[in-house]
Amino acid sequence: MRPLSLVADMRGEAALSFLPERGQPPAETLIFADGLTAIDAWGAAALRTSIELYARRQQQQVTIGAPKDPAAWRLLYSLLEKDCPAHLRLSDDTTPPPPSRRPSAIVVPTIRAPTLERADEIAEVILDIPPSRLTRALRFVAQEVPELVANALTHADRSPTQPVLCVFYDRDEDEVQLVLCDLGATYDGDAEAAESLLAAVQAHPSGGLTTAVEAAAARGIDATLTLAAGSGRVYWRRGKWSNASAQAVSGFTAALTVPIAD
Amino acid sequence: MTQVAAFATDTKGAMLSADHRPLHVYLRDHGHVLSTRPRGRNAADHLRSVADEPADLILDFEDVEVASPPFLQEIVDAAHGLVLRDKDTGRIVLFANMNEDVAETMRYVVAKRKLSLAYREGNRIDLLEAKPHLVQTLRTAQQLRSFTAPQLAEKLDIENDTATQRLKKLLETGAVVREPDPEAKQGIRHLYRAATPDLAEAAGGRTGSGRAAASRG
Repeated sequence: MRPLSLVADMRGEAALSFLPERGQPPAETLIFADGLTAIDAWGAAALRTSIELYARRQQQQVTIGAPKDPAAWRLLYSLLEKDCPAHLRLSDDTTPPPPSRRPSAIVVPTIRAPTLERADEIAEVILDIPPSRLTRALRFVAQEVPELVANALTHADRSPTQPVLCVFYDRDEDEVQLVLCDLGATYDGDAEAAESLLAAVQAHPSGGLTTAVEAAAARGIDATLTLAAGSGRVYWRRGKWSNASAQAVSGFTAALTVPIAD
Repeated sequence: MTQVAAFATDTKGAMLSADHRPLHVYLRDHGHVLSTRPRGRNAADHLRSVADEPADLILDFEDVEVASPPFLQEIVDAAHGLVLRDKDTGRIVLFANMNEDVAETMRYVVAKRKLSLAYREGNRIDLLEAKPHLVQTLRTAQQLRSFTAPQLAEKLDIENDTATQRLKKLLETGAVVREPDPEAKQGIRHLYRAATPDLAEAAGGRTGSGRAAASRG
């Protein structure tokens, strides 16, 4: 049995540590979520990628227990319930949260995007949000969903999982998050992943990711692009690229965060 | 397959090519969400294939919700290529019915390419990313409808050479076309025609998609 203990705060880039390592032998997995109090697109996409690897790819049972916090359970359940693998089960002492409307912070729950056509459908789901809530930031995020998916499908074709994405409204930061994770192995074991990643991005000035943030800046949208692969991190913010080294994470994550106020 | 329509427009007052039938290409046939360079390339290839004849071209973005820069770069490159291909005569290429999001992204793409293009804004035709003197020249050209370079120079109170230079730049935007003036007594003289509100009417449609317009409240 493989235990996977969630931390209380599964938000932000730090939550990418919950991305699964490739090459782990198949094993049943038990997800302990008792202490979970907060989760956003980062944590949800990383956790869902683990579930996709263990439950769908490896066809092993993955059992999840509920957080003690009912609101956190409702949020986690809603983030994971769509198109989940058959091997994902609730623990014996866990019941689904009472039926209610999906938490409004969830724009798109965690979902696989195995094709561009699926990415288009996801973008249209966002664009179908009622006009009173369809902000400029959300329209920008909808525009970039297929670009991020295309990037994953192009560069992570040997990922054992299909790209997983989540779109979430972070009330604390008043921003929309689009986080997409795959398990491509390009930067695994690269001791200079931060430099390699930055060089790769800058080598394609007309690439989908670069033009996305440049266009955002030109439109006055204060978007931040974060790329995380291995120990490498690359950030685009306010017209500048920067890179850093951080805790090694599996696969490749591309995330756009866009302030609603724009 | 992209929907294409060709129809006659009112050319009253224009002396050039009275049978101009603009080719109307609807980008929405590639989806409400236009994205990725390969798909933009496919759309651009299709555009080139249907725009083989040198007729005015309307690229209609009605019902396109959002479009990413790589997709639009391919479309802009294709449209600009068509303008350059017919550079001796020019070819009116009009971008129409872009909602606010698409227009903003288009502005970025055009600026990055250091180009300018003609687009329909309400019931008038304007230039995206153009210097003010070119916009002024286009406005005057639209008033004249069919004209020679000296006529434009006189109207703008500028030198003939300056008018010719400005017209050369406008030809490259797709906002102006020209053809040899059959009444010229000696040498080569051209008659010019600018994209006019007639063509904007042909472009029709709403100014912006319903969802986008509604979101702007």
